[in-house]
Amino acid sequence: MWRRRLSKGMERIVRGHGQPGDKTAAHAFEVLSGIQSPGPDETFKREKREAVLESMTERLLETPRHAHRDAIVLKPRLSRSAVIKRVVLVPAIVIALFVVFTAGAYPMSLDKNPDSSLYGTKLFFEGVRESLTGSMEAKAQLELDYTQKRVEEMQYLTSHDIDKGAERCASRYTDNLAAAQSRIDQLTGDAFAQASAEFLDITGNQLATLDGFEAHASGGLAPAIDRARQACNGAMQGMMDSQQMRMGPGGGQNQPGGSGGSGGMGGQGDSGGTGGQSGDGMMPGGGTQGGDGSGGGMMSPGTSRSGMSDSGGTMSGSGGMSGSGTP
Amino acid sequence: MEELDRLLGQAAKGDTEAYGLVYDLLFDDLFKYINWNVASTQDAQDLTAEVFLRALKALDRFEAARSTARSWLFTIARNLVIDHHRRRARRPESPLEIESEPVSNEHLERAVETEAASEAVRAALGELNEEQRQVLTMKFFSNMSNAEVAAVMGKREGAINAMQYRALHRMGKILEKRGWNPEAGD
Repeated sequence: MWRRRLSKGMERIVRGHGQPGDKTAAHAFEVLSGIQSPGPDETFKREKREAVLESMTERLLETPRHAHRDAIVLKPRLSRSAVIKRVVLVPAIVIALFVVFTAGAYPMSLDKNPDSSLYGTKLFFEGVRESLTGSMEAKAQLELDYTQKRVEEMQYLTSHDIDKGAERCASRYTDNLAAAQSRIDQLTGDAFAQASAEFLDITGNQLATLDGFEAHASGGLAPAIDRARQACNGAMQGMMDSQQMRMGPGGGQNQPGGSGGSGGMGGQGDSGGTGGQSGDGMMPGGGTQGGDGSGGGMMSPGTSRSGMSDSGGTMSGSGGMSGSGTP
Repeated sequence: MEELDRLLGQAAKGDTEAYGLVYDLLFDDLFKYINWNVASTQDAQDLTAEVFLRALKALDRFEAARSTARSWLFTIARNLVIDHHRRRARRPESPLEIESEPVSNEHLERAVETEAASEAVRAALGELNEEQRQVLTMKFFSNMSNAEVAAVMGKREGAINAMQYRALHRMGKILEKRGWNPEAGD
């Protein structure tokens, strides 16, 4: 009897057939096969048959519309365990897989350059990290760090003469600069003064670096670097305007005795700048207005930007960020 | 197309005689399946009759091309069994607890080979999960093929095979624990 009911594969499993087999399952099989399942009560069955057929006749007399309304959708109903599986297990597995993949993708994407297919993932996680960062100050710092990363990525592209991803990198650099600037603008008091000074310091160095790249860039790389340069220049100008507006002429953030370095932003530029960023501000012995391009403005004494090129831009030229006062 | 499918197709067109024949051919198998999945014989009988009443309402939607008459009616039966367990005091995992219902049906008593074996099987089935129990009762007591069981359960045939094996293994363990030792030839 059991041979009729079980497939060959199942038969081999439960009965052995020369192999060890599963005696436990085979035993259960023997027991189940030996059970004579009781049938229904014949009287009940007969009576219900009449009732069912009578009901059918009545239904046939009803309108089709009514019959359609009562029609049931014949879909296997989910058992309790199946419901638990679908409601709990499936989402849990999906979440677990997401976490596993995410956890794997994050470290893998960390050191990727713009020419990598994982570069987008890296940028995504940067965004995530930024949004998870609490204070505005920390957000600004993070965005500034990202700008530095972008410059390093452009350095990689230049040294390997790769233009793939250069546009994306430059575009992200612009975004990072704008985000950093916007975060710093939301700071107040000393926090703003400190952050804006750091911003100018870092972007000043970046501008110098980008100028160096531009000379070597070719193909699609050159426009991307030029775009980054312009963004950097614009951001610095914006930050200085912001400083002037909030802290008065000269910014007052000059270090005591801030005689600054020579050159100012843009060094010996010739294309004219906006001038007049300096002033006597709040520091003793403050600087002079305008001047001839010397002075450190936001720079600490001796941190000259004289190495920066003069290849145009709003920061260069006479005037600049002077601050030659002495304490 | 099997005879049953043809009859149900005719019934769908309004042939009451054909539906009566479907009833005659499937009532016992449906009853046996339901009876091993609910605690009371009376409930099993009522539910079996209910299968045919429910099927009537959906008869115009039966499509022989998409499912067999047998699997179609067993799907209705399975849904009714699940609803029945949900209604009854939320005892989904142990619906086969033996009720202290007086065995008044002499026919039933005669049909069971031994009361002890039947009770042991019923109790062991009660310890299986719902799907395992349904697979075993459809296969062993209602003469269903794996393909038909798969259609009723909404699973693949291979999954039913595996489920059947796991159910048998687990049931064997339960029976051994209860003293039904294969070596002793119970």
